[in-house]
Amino acid sequence: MRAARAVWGLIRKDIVVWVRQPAAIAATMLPPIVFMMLIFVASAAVGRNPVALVVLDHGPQSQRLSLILQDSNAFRVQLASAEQAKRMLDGLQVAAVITIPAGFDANLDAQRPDSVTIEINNLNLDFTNDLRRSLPAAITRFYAQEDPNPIGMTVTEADLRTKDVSILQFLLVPNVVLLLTVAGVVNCGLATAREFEDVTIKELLLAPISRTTLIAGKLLAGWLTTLLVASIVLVLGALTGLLRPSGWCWLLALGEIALFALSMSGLGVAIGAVLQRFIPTATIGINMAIYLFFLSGGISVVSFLPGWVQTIAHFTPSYYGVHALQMAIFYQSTEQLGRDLAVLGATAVGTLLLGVLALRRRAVA
Amino acid sequence: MSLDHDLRVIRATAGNDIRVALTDRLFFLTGLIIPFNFLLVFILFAFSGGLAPTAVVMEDNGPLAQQFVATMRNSHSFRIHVTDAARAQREIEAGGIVAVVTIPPRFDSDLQSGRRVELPVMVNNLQTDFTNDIRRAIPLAITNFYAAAYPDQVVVRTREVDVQAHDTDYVPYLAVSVVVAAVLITGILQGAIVAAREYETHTIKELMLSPAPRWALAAGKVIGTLTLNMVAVVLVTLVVVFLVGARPTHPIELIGLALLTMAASVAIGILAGSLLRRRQAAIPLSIGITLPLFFMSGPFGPANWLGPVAGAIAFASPMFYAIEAFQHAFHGYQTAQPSLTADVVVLVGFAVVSVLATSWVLSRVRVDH
Repeated sequence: MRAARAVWGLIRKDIVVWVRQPAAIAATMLPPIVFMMLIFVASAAVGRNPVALVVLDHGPQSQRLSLILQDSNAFRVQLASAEQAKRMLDGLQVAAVITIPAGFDANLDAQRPDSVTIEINNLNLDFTNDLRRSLPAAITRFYAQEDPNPIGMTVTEADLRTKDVSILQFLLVPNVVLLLTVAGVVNCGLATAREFEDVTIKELLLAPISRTTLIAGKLLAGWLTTLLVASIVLVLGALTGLLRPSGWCWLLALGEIALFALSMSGLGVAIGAVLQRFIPTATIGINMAIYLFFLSGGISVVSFLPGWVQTIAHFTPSYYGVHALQMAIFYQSTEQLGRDLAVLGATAVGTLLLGVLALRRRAVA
Repeated sequence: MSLDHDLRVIRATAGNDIRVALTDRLFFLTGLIIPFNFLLVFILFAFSGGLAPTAVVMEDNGPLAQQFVATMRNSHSFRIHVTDAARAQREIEAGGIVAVVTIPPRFDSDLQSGRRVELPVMVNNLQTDFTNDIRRAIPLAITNFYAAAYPDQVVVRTREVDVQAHDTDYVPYLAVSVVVAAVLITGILQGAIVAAREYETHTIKELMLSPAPRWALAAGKVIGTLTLNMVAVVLVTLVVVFLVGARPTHPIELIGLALLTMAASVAIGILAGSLLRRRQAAIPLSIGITLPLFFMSGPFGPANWLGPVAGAIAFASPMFYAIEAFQHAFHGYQTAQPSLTADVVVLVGFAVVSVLATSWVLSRVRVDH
């Protein structure tokens, strides 16, 4: 009972210290919130480059191609005259100008070579290759509407998953994991290092409580702070409908978040106790959070990365955390759940042990 | 007080900050590690390059089937490897690839005899962005294949005209943006630490009790931190130039811009450190703000191409102007609507306003005993 009161006291103290530091709260919340805003703003445009469309032929076939281009989810099309389009391209308002030439219909009817021109501002290969893909893709759709279709090959698509998930929703999950990592590793690390740097660890050690109580209090304080931060994002995600698991998957997602938060808190306490100083703890914690975010697929799909990076990603807990959450939230699936939970559980146990050992050794020293 | 006196104050403040910083190896290392980490992470990101890892199962190995796979390889869309059906299934289920394309039996004979060919494609539809890439890329490969194999049937082609004389690979492009991020993040971070340290160690009292003008103290701190910052910036730039291969088209312009951007970022950092007064708050906040700011400033391409809202947000970020100016210095082209002059004016404005704001903050400091 006395130990429980002491643990509760430590938790309250750490949370009050955290709450009284708006900069620490801002540093925890800002990156995920700004990333979310950015994802929200950019997701509508990702893969859809702005182009100007110049239609110099008014025949039915050129109009049909024009409509296909305007409906394409690869472009954001603005119809323009040749002069307007040139100005837009020069002023970087559009990435390319597509021109359907005069005589397009006549050439098509006569089965003569018929070229649609795309003038690309080839600043970098990412955008440029998107555009290089997108116009031929529109021409494919153009031919697909013809009867008879001269292209005698059709695609039969089978999807591995039951539904498509938007890029906005998809990227929110690594963002939640980033938030948990920053809150866990950085906040708990700094809270622990602060005790040493401000020499308040002496007061804690001189208090009539056991080392175990002290360590449990620090760990639980870090864990609860992390969960507090995560709950704000989860509530926002649920209210907007972007992160809304259904049925029992709510519980599964919450459990996974709690487990991941626990492992990151343990890691933070260990780092803070080992380094005992604010700047190295912040440096290592923030860098670690960035790497874990990246390796969990935060800004790219992991399977698109080079093989050796994928191998490294498989050794990071955030990779499994993101996978487990995506399966629970989007697909109500238990695919590789055992593997994910085992890794997260083992990480939690490992980092907690690390945290306990580091804090015990340093506190004794 | 004479100008000579003010210059001595600036020199003494700068020299003091450099000496103190050099005794703190950790501080120095922090300034080096963070930009290099940035560079590494983003270069790895750029390596992913949007090519979808795809398995092709060849159930027909005829010349047309081979030609179709070759067309897929040349479509700027796939990273292809040929495998058998069972292994492809395992790979897609494990998340190692994003699609399996099966060339069906009798592919060649069906095409030659004019029969329709069904091309089975299994997609790992994790998210719509790359699923749509696959959904576009397969038909693109089919049309290109037909245009090459049956030119009389498919007459509508694309003719590409490029604005720039040569393509710029994604890695050198992104690396330049990362140099800007490195300049800004280390500048803000080091500026904030230098300023906050004065408050933590109470040496701010000595500065405030001196008869030195506040602007000279602020300018001295900017110059001292800028000198420290230069080491990290020069190293990162050398890596980008010699290892990544992004050679500056306008080297003198690059040096000028780097100095200007460093001055602006250091001044912003010193202002932040003077306001926060604690390294505990200054460090996470500096990184926490700079990192998202980087993403908002068009590091991957012109910000307005992501839509009007993203474009408008980018205009408010100093990094946006710095990225545009650096891209011009490295690649010789403009990547945003403001002119190079406008970029320079904005960066100078940020630096001057931050130094003035820091002087104002310092002038309001009260010395407690």
